[in-house]
Amino acid sequence: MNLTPNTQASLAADAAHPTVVECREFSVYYGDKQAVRSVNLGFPEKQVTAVIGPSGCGKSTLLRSVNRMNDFVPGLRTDGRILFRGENLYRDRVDVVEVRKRIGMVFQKPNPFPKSIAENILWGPRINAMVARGREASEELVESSLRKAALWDEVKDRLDDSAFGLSGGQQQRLCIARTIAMRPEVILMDEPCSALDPRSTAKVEELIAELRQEYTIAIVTHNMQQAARVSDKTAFFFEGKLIETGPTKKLFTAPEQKQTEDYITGRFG
Amino acid sequence: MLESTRAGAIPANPTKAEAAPLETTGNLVFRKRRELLFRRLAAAVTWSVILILGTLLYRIAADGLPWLSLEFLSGTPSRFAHKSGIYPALLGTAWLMGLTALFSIPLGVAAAIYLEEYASRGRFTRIVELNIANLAGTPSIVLGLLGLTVFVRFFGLGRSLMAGALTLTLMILPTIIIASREALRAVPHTIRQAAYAVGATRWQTVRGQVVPAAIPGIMTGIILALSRAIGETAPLIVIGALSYVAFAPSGPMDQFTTLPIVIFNWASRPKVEFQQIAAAAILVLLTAMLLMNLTAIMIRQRAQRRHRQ
Repeated sequence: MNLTPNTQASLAADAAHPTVVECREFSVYYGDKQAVRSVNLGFPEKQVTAVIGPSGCGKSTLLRSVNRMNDFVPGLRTDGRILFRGENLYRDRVDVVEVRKRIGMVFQKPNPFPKSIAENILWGPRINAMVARGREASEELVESSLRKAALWDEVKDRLDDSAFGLSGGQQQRLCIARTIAMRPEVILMDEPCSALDPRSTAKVEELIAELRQEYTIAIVTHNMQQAARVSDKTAFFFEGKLIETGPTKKLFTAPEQKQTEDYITGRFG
Repeated sequence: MLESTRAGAIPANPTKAEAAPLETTGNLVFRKRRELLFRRLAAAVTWSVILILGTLLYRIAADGLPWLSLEFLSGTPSRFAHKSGIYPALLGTAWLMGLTALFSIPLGVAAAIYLEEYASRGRFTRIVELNIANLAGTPSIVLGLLGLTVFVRFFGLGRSLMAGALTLTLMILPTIIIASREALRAVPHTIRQAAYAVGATRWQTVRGQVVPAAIPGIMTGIILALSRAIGETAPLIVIGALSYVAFAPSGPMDQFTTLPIVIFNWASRPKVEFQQIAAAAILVLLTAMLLMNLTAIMIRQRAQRRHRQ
């Protein structure tokens, strides 16, 4: 083969981080309104992909389409495909429960279950028969999940207390731990820090950097600094369209599109 | 002028802040007066209600307490007031409430879950909702007539506890359904999303997260509904509950009487003694209701402790 050094480099990168989730000409309609317009975007394995753009640009809608959370929105219609390891998530007979087991999600506002901290971790694995019966297996799963979410030391003495007694930042890390406990392949994060104070935000960002070793992460954020800090790849959306995507460093330092540049320099949005 | 705006006003214009008096002046005088007036009005209303209730309770207790005894609780009705007891009525009420709870709670909660979590909004649900609201407003005596036609005659249940419990179930179902729906609706949407996001099916979400979180509200509806049912008389008389039963019921197909019916019967007699034992029976009925509500409240609080802070 006769490849230029540049292409070789990008191919090598692709081999280390193959695309796990890939949108192909994917569109979402709310009634007559088109919220996502024929998007082509890949999420590479064990990388953090940030999706940025002004409010209402369709970035959350796209993210929620990946684990089929949009199925609950009445009047919503999709077009095109989202491939998960090559399989179209929107073909017939795909079981959404199976999809959500493998593609976890962390929401904008911390939403722990109104149960104890331990129960929050265990509920998902239990209903999916993913944890062996008995105390030992349960305790182990609780501890390992909380450790991975950097929450263990703060809560190990009150695992049976209500999750509502935790601070907002701790609750959000609990939600991340709950997602991890399902051993998903992909974690979707829908503005996970928008309800948190700066210190909690910093902790969650550290955590994302940590989780990147094991999981493929897609994060929607309003905060451009956050995207620059945590992500490997960034996609900029505007009015439902994917304007530009590329390695985060490149997109923030040398954007190709005028709109991208205007947005990241704060000229609009 | 206002305490709370003072902090904001100072940096903007210090001289003005100095000029503004910190005491109560101007229209704040009227606002404070109005506040006080309303507070006193609210307190007066509350206390007058408590006073009326207290007087009522005192009168009943004064009449009835001397008659309360073990013989009164375990005896059967008689032509003579001093030989009369309420055992059949007490057991009748217990049986009736047990059966009514058995029918109405699962039916009501299940209907609420279906309407709130499963049914799609449309003409059908609107019609069902309208009917439930209408049923809630139907006079109980009309439901008694319905019970007489359907349960007593058509289904051939006779004048049994079963027919009575089913009639009362009809009467309190709307209350349970409406209260349970409110409680389910109050469960934040984010909890449902969280459940779906960890791979829960709809039923697992409802069963494992939504219903447990709604239990306090559902229990409140059940308390209200059963409290209404325990004191109900008219529909039971219509379906043929007897006022004189010498034997306690021993099964759901037995004939029965209940405390409210016995009270109604005794209270309408001219003899003072009967009015007094009616008061004694009222005390028993109130105690039974209190015990029932206490149980429900305990269940509610246990659920609240488990699911809230």
